[in-house]
Amino acid sequence: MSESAPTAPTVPRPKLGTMLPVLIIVVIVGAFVVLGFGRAWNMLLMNPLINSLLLLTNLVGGQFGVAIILFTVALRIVTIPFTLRQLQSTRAMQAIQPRMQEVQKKYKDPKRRQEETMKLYRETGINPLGCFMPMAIQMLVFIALYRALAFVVGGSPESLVGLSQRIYSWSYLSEAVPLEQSFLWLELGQPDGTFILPLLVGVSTYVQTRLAATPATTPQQQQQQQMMTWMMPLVLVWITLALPSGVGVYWVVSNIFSVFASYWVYGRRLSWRTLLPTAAATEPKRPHPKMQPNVPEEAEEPAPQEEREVRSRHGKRRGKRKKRR
Amino acid sequence: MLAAAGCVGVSNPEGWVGPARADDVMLATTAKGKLSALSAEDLSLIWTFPTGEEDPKVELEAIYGAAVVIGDSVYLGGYSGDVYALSLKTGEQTWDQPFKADGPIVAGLAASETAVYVASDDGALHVLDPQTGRQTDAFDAGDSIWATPLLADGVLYVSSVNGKLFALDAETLDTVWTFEADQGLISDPVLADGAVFVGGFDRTLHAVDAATGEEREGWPFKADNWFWARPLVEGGIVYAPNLDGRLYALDAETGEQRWSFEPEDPAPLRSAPILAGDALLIVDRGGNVYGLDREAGALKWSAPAALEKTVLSNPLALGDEVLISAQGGDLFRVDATGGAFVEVATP
Repeated sequence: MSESAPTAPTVPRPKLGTMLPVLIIVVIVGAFVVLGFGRAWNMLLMNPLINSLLLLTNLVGGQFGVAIILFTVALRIVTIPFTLRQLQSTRAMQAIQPRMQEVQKKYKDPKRRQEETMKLYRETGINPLGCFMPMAIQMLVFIALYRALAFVVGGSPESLVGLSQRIYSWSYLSEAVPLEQSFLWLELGQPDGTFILPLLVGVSTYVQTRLAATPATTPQQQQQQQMMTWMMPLVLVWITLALPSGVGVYWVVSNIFSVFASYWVYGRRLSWRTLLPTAAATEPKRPHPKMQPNVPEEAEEPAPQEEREVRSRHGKRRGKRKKRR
Repeated sequence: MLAAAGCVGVSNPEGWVGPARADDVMLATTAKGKLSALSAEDLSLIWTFPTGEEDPKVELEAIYGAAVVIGDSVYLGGYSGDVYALSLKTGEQTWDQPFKADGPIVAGLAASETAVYVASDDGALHVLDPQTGRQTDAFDAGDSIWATPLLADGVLYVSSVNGKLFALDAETLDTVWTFEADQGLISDPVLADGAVFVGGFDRTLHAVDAATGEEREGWPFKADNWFWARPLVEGGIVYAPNLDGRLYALDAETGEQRWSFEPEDPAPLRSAPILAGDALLIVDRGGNVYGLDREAGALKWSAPAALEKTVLSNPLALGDEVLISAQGGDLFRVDATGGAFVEVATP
């Protein structure tokens, strides 16, 4: 560690992976400012999503249910940089929680506390907005998708009049209308009266929440996580009972995708035992993140166990890089 | 995410049946899923169906297609798929039980002395006995029927969302000819000047020769959006509203565009145009009413957002006044000579 200690603070070199989401965010925010919210919302999100859904429906032979599944998978793949970034940031924040608590305890003056917190972020290379921005972008896309699905699945002749105002003039797209509403046992424009879909939404949300949950470091966190693990699925079941089934299908497929994304990020830590209500989240654990943020070697104070572990791992990686050179 | 989900709900059918007149009685929807008979003189309420007290319970969900009156009977189909026969005088049911189609009914009914024709989303044209409501025959159109079948001179013209327009013998249901468009046909077909005018999802208005089933030369006419409103044919001109917010005036013979009218702030036109007083009147989805000069398409008067309600139904001309039914059941009277809003006439 000491061999590579620099004399001046190291400035992390921007990487393409980091720059791309930032660039997208800047472009989106810029468009909303220039065009105005309503116009930008429709032009950049709603209408492209609606027309993509119609195009996909035509490409899969008019099977709207299949189109929703493919569309969800495609959308999740496109937004995967945001998903991974969010998961990684969450893990990194989790890793520095003990040091954060120390700062909170040590400094009573809010200004000083703020400075020390920011210093900690700088030291560990964490961007506090790293969790928020990807999540905000995803939320924006998801809300637009929900609205788009509501438009496309229709459910009444009036909704088709609304849909007509959003379809591009390419006549091929109108061939998808009226959409085939039947899919498996579902009527995609109507809520599922059999309760199977709401149940699937509930179960998949539970699994996804459970697998993605970071180990709690405090009893409060543990309590919050437990509540979320149960509340989210229950609320979503309730909501799905009133939503068009097409949205429920999206939700189930999206959850399945999230489970795979969690596995990709957290890797070995995942075990099907964590699905049991008494496992994992009920007992505070020390996290073992697969991916960690950049951490500079120099530190003013001795780091707690978690932080030391992060550094030693990072140091090993650097060692390997040196050897390769 | 929960907030996002909260923004999305099932789009409930509201219905868009317009008012219709049968002698001294006016039939109009005054609340979602309810049909009322009003006095044509002062619009006072005579009866409403369903009353809510029927046994078994009657639930129409919404009414899209116009009811049809033959003699003393009113025939009515609901989005629930049920068809009822009512007494014009009392509103009481005259069949032992309603006819139940396998899908919602969006189209209006057609009827003669001997048959009631019910087009349904289940893709079938059901022929019912007007006395009993029992099905006597059926024709499979191959896909949903959303447009009101047109009965003229013993021929039934039925258009379907599979793009086919059928000319059927009204008695035997034998196919006389079939015309096929590129995409679904959804506007109510109109027979005039020897042609059937019908439009749909292909953004095209067709003029199909009523004798041969061939597209008339010079036609079809292409616009920027779907033709869902029933066109009006008057004096050799087809007045065709489009969901792109424009009204097109076309030569019925050649298909040539004479003029088009587009308001400053266009909204979809689903309601049929009508002639009232000396004006050609259109109403858009936003409840804006426009009176046009029918020769040149020039704006004579406008009543922007006069109704402040969504309007997708066909208006009805009553001399110099126009009766407009807005979504939710409110009825409005508008003076067609100057565009002055008269009153909310909901009983």
